Amino acid sequence: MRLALEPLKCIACGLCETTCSLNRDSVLTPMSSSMILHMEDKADYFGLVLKTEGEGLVVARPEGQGGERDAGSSGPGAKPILLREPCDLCGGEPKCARICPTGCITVVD
Amino acid sequence: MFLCNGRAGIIDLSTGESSEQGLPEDLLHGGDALSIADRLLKEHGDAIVLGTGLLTGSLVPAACAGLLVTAKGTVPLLGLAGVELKLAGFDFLVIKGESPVPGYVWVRDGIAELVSAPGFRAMDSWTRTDRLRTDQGDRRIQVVSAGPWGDDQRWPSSLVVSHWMGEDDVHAGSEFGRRNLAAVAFRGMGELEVSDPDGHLSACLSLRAEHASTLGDSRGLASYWDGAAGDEFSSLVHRHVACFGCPHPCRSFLKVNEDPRQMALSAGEPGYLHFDIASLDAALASGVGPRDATALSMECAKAGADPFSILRSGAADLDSVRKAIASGDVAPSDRTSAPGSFRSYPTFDRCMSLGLCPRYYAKVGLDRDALSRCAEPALGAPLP
Repeated sequence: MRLALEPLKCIACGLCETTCSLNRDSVLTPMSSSMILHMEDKADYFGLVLKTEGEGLVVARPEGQGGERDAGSSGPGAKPILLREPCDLCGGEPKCARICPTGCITVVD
Repeated sequence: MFLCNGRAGIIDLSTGESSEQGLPEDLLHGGDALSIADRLLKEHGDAIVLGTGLLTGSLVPAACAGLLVTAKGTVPLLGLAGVELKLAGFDFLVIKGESPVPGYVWVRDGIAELVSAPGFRAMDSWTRTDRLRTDQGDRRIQVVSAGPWGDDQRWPSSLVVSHWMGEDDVHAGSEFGRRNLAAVAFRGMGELEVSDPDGHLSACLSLRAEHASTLGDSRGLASYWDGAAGDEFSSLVHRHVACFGCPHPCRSFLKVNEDPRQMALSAGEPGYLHFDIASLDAALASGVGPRDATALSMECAKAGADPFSILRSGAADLDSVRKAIASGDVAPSDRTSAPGSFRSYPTFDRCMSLGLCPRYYAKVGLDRDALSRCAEPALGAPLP
């Protein structure tokens, strides 16, 4: 089982990165999430970065996998994703996929 | 304290000194942020109060709203601003006094400080937002900014929230100018405790499913305003963007300076994020189409000038809008009752008090019992 990301379905609502922390810490915060919403608001450019156990960083850019952008951090003020815990799939029922309102994040085998 | 920080930050622009004020749980869990803001205004005198609702940042659908209150009225802080403010460590922030030199208030990790920025006076609101993010090293910082119109205390000014306008129905930008306050910026790196995480998540998903059955397909701004359903508007749409936690976004980004289908990051300023229904309505009524309305929105946002007032003053094309922005000779128009303005929604006060989007709940209905079913697992107590 793994998470599949379709970045063009993302609406930048931020629920995935905020809900991730509920599983480990019972708090709402984007700071310990295994998922980061990468956003350049003035350019309307946004996508997701997921830290996984098996695949390393999965960067879901809106332009596809060929982009050159470094999207691995939401800024020096935030905790870099490489220092965070990888996704543990919430023990079998990933909360980010449940809360995502658009089907951008889904669970696949 | 569940869903809250339990404190307000106080900063005096005259001295640069900051302090904290405890806010008791029973006050915050009363769910009336407007009353708390009003109480802080009375207690601290001539001030600007920023705040968040009890549910801001929770998983309740569209729990995105913060607020900014001055003697002129209340400005909702939507997008990611409300939740970032709460996660920055304060439920409320009181800004009083006048800074001797232009500066901005920078809030994060429970710290509020005045940063001197005399150079900001020469910058438009977009440049100062970009500069502030660069200086503080984080592109997710939310910036509530005045532009040159606010700096000059022009009455039909408008606050700009991280590049976009549409929330300031009371022309609060001039209130920043009076205080030499170029911007208020915040970044949320804290956390909110939740009493029963699984219960909160499940209840919020159930409520969202109920809403979905009445909302239908999500079409961005066209879901809330028929004017966005036209061919020209649709042809310019790049993507739809949600505020925090909103499953049915009202924000549509129109690209006019590059192909709307381009998904790769561009270095420039490709367009504008539209959700200001009142101004778009005024543009269409003046014969200004979506492409020019996007261009004028960009220019108004940079200036911190209210496009609704400019269009209502007789500007009927891009050139006349540019002349009006340059001259500043514009009579203010009351946009609080204009259809689609946030203030016009009957849900406004209750939503502001709870931290919810008044536009979303005007559409789905504000059901107190349903909200309480979501809030109770988070708070460990019923919604008052």
